[in-house]
Amino acid sequence: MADAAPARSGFRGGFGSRGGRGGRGRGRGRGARGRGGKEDSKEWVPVTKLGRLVREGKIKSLEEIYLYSLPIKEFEIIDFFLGSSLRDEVLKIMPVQKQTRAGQRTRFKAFVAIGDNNGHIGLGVKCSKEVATAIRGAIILAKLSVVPVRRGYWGNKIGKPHTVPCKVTGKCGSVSVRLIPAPRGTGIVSAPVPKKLLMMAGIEDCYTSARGSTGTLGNFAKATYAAIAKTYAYLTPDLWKEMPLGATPYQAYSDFLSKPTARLHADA
Amino acid sequence: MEHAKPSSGHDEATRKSSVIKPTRNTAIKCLKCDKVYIFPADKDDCLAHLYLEHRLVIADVDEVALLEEYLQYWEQEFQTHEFEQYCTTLFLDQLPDGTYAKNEKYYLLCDILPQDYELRHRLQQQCLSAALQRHQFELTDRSFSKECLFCRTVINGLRSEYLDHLFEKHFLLVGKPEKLVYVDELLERLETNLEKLICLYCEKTFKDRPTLKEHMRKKGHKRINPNRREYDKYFLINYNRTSAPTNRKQQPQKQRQKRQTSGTEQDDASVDFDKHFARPDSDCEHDSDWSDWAGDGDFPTLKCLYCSQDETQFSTLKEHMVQSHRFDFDAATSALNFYQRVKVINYVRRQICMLRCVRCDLQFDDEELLSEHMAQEAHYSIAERSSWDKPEFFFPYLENDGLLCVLDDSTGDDVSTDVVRIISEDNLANINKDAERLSLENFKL
Repeated sequence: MADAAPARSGFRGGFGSRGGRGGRGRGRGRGARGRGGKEDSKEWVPVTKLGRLVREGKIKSLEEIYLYSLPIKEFEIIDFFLGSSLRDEVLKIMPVQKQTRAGQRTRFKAFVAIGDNNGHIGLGVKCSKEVATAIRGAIILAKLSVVPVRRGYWGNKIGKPHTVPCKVTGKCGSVSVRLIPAPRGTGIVSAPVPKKLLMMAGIEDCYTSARGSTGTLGNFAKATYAAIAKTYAYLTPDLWKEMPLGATPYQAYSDFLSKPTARLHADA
Repeated sequence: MEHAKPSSGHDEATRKSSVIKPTRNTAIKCLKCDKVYIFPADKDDCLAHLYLEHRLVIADVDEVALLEEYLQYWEQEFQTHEFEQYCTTLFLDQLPDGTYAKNEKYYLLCDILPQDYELRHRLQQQCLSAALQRHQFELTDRSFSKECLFCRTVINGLRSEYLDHLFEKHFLLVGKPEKLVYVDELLERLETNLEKLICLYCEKTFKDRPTLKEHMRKKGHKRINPNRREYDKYFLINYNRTSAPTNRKQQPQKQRQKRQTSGTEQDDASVDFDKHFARPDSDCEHDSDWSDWAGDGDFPTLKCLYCSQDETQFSTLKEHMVQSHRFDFDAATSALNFYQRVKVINYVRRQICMLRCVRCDLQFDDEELLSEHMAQEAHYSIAERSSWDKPEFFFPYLENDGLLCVLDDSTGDDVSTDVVRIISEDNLANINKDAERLSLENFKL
């Protein structure tokens, strides 16, 4: 109900020349109330070193960050590289209750999966008093948990990789999910929940084998995510070659990082 | 005061959408006598009758989620019990119609009684889960199509796109899509209001459409009035309101205590309790707990290979096949690796679908003849390897074949000769010769 009061400033006063529309083009009410909020991305002020490097364009792709296993603490980094191709999907919203002395307090828990259908997948869960806040928070957490997905070929190396490179298994709670490579055209052979995740990860063909209480869909989803993340953790023979150690971005751009950011001074 | 439900014309549209909410008219019998009232129209009459005739008052009647079910429950109870057993008795110094009297008895049905509290809570949860189901549907359903309320463009796709269009093009803020539920009903309501030339906010009637538009623009009435309770049911936050069990005597004391401990005064007592008495650490661990989501309980069923029996667990399915078809799945597939088992299953499924015997490939006309033949000849088995070991059987024959998702590998999988070479994505890296020499395969122990 609190949403029903947008910024009043645009309505009063004679902005009548627009012919029936209020003069809201000032952009003040928009950012706070509109659903897109895309203007905010330009105003991102990074607080971590990695964020500053990404913001300045020193880092060319998300894969550079993954190469050095740097922890990503700002979701805007993911947005910066993958923003337009990321699709989020709300898997479930459920009410959870907590007994307080004043009765029961219900909050909403949102489960969100995010992926770009081409090699990245993330999962997030957030609990909040309002549904919209829970969804928003879960999307942010999902973005922070985005991992790369390694794909491979089954048999002949023609076209683009389409299946998992090897048999990987992930476990969460009592559920363990095994992903098995499949020939092109098989599609994803699994229950609905992992199927959604595998499609969002960009895997086209895969067999699955699930054990444990797959009724707990939360653990089922998390186990699938763990299995998908393991594709890049598995050392296959073609990765045995020794590569020269590169400098981490922190080292490579240390002179840039040591400069104090001009923005902080401007805000003060 | 009133939870005015939309007219019966809207009932048709919302009937298929609302799960538990009874928007159609239900007949409710009075709690004590035999008078029947048609809800929702006669709600006030019914409550007035209860007060005047039977001296019964229901506490917080507007907070009760599904009043019809509530009344039906208590009507059952009061058939066999008296008012005094469940209601608190009050003594007032007046008759129901207001004339002065002495020590008249009145009955108050409120949630101090645990049964009543449970009932109210249960109804509220029902309402909430129905609303959430509908909300989930509306968030993802792409088949929505409606003409805009102001311009004549038709918006297809998600309801959120429609609401965004209303906001961006016409500056009408209905609410954020994630916070709204039963959006179709709400939009129809707004549409009828506009067609009747009634302002959305102040509900005054105007002469014609341009005057109405001008009024809404000038006065800033292009939004929903937060004070009007008819619109409450469209906002998800209202389904979450739980009232504390009424301890009316204790509440002033607790409020006094709070004023001493903290300086803040708030209207809503339950919000204060949350802040002061809820333990913050238990919140965090529940926040990121994925095991809460337990699923609807509809497990993907595993269909038997040879008949149409469905089972939920792989072990029970195997037992069924042993008992009904004398076929031991584990024994027959013990020597096969995963891919071979997949092929076997797809082959058998295809044969059964085409009504051919699995082993001897005889064609039959219907299922019974086929199953008779297979039972007699004991042909419930896997065929020869040459029949199923073809690449076409990699592809699942049945859609959503649950059986393919529970197959284990045999233990002897690693050394199987039938394994196809799986190539990873990056084939450009050369294998280091030194590393290969050191690899375990070349070690002779």
